[in-house]
Amino acid sequence: MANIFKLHDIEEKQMENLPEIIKNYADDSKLLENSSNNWLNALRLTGLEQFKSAGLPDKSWENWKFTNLASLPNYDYLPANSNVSDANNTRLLENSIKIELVDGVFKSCADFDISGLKIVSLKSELENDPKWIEEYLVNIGNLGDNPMMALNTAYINDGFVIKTDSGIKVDRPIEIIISSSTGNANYPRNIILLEESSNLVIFERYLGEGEYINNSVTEIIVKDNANLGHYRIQAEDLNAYHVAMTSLTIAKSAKYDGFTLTTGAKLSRNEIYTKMIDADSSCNLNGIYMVQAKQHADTTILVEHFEPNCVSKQNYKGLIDDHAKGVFQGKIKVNRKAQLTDGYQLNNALLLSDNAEINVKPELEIYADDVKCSHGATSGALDETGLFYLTSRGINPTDARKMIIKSFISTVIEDIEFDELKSILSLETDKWLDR
Amino acid sequence: MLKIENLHVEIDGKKILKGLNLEIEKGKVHAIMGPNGSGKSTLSYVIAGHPNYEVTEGKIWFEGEDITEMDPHERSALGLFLAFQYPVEIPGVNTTNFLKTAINSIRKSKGQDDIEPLEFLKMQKKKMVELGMTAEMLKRGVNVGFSGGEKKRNETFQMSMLEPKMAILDETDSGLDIDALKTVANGVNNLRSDDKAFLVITHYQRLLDYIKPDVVHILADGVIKLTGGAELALELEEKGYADFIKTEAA
Repeated sequence: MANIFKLHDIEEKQMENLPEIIKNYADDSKLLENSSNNWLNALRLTGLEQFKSAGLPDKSWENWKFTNLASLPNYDYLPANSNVSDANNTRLLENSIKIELVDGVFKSCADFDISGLKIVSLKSELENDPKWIEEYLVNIGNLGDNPMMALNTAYINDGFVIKTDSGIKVDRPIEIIISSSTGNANYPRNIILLEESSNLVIFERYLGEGEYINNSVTEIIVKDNANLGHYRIQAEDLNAYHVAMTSLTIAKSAKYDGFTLTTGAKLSRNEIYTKMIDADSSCNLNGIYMVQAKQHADTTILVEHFEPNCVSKQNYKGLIDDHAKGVFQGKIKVNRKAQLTDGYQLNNALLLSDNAEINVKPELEIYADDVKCSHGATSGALDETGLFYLTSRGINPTDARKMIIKSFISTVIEDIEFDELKSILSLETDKWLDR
Repeated sequence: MLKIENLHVEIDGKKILKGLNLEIEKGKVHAIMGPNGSGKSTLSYVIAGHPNYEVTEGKIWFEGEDITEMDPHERSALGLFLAFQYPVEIPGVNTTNFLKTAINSIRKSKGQDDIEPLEFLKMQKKKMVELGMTAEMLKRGVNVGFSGGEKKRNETFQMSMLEPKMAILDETDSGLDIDALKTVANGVNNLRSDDKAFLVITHYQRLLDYIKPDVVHILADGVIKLTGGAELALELEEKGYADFIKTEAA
């Protein structure tokens, strides 16, 4: 089958100035085969064009001041090549429905018997029932503002699609294991749709081996009165690149409880754009990042309130060791109609070495006059007084240090509305502290 | 048991203790009284090994061992305990786990096995009742959401659980109502024995009505100005510090 993309003729001179990764996309043979959905072909093309004209974001981009993608390696998307060992793929949640994504390809989903819950691969849904997903793939926002999302769009092919029907309360969590292997670039495109008054818990774990790129886009829609618990552990290989974009839409009286633990990847960007499009809804966008060596972990969040009486909380804790860098950019935007908004944003970073670095950019943009919004950020070293208190009780300095660190992150773990995750996070923290 | 010789201490280049001498024998309760800024809290921190305080001259011995350069956990393992004036809140670490970790750390440093969980729980229950602590308080993060009085109770409770040879009580009476004061004093009195010693640091004489000291010292300007019996505290209460220190200096 022929490639459908008609590429711009890029002049030789201009080509030389482009980073390798973009030159790569000027090569026809690297592109996906034609889809039977014309809208998808057009969408992929738009993604590619936008990515090529924007280029990789750099310091001159408002939202990319602290994170540089110039070192992104030049890998191809090879969906047929997936070969990841099954070693790490056991479930962590006892009762979960397991899904596996390997190198961006939907591999398997465990059997389940729940009517009104749909779990399929994006690829199969594009073949079997593309109509309803078109809306969620096409209306994701201005790709020109987001080159990495544009790049993912150029490669829309596979990913997971999860949908609950109205009123369905799913009593088993869904556990998605997303693993990647060295030398690949993966572009999973995922859709999570909760119809009205449905409940669901999703737990994603990112794993991998070697150097690879995992550039994912997840579109989440939580409709009226629905309730989604969405938890992620990003434990990619320490040589990997992880760029995850989440577009989240929350409708009337709906609830989203989100938490991300970041321990992996050489460079990661966890970007969440939340639109609270109707009244009386709430969302938690919380997380912990624990980074070491020369890791770089970026969390960038925008919460936009459009209607009255919604609550949004962003609460992040960072543990930054060695030469690692953390970035936290959080913004709350309250539009004119969104009276009685309760917006909260806090980032506390613990610098565990003299060479550790944190860059924080908190922002509030408020156009309504009756709102309660706050933001705060702290960074500092371990609490000396606390350490002295513990050691004065006989606790050795190593254990005391761990206790103080665990204490530092405990409040944000306590707030998680899915108890099973708390013990998993506690184990992950111990593992990190004992490394 | 504790011997301090010509102790000079600085913090951030500021001289606080200026040649302090003190000796406390087994079985005795010593009280140190003094005005604000005299160096009372500094003395308690230095004995416990606070890293921010620098000993520029002098030595501290505990049970014949020079502890001047020891880390706080090593001093604790030898049997020293400091009840803090401002106990620290440790969210996410409950008091039971915290105490079990502390007891086992101390046992480990002595080459002993971990305490039997059942034995620990029995001891905890007994002391809890003694000091008016509730099970709910022990489940909470250490000192989190505790009132001033509850924090001091918790300090005394920890002391009672760790069974130190010598305890320093740094202004344990501050912020206590009379009932809490009695409970705390009672906890201390229950621990008094021929082989233990206490150093009670206080601004007011009130606590000493309930914990009867054998010896009272007056600390001012970084040195012990005067030493006497229990009656010294009463005298001090009557005359006030300023008058007292001036008289002595004259």
